[in-house]
Amino acid sequence: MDNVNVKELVKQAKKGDKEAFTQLVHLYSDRVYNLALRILKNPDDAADVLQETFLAVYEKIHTFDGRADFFTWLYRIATNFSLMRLRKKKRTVLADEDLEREFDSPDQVEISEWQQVPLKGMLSEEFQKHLDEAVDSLPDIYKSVFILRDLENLSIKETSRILGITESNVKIRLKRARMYLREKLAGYMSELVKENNS
Amino acid sequence: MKPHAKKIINELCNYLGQDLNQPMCKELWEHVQNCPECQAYLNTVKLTVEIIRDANAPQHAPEAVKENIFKILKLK
Repeated sequence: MDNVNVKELVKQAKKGDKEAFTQLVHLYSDRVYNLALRILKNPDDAADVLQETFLAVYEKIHTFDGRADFFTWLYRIATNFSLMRLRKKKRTVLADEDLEREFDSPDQVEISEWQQVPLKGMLSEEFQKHLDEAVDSLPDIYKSVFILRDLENLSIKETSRILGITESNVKIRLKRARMYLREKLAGYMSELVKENNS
Repeated sequence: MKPHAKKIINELCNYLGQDLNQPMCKELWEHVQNCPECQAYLNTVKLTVEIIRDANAPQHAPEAVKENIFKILKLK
């Protein structure tokens, strides 16, 4: 995405140029939608967040001062809408202590066995569900970091700006989220290995 | 697997948010670089991230939602 072009579009949109705002929606709607979909795991909710985000951006674009990238500002709004919606849903979320406990539990599957189970490219519906549940059970502060950094491929700096936390905190949360998910996957693999051996 | 690698990586993780040049952090990092068990564990963490990434392939935003945004904001 051409940065200069985006800056010009934002400048024009702030002046009320409807065509410029339309182009911004076209440029960023896929990314906003995917972010929301990854956080909420529901296409209808993600579609609502997409709409809410651009309506809010349209209303507030005059307050955007250009100190941060437009993209960072937009993502912060979309992340907040997604997390607000997520908190309203009844779901089982781990406490920090549970996350720590996962690290201390003995490994349920030998590392050598990871190579025996062809996980990559073999995503069954059941496995997909298992992965979704694992990501969803992460506390929001870990989940948002994991999604922004590992699924959206944003930098540590961008992630810290969007979430309003320090880069150190991004790194710590990211490592914990990754290790927790690894343990969850190991648990599922243990079941697969047992099934294969029975 | 012994809990060795997990413990080391977990400790390292807690230090990574701090100053990487701290003696404890440097020591742990050096250990990880030279420990096959820690390396193997890290590879499984990387594989986990790759698998989850594959399972979350990007999708296109629904055109109907975009059209609705344009309609509400009277952009077209």
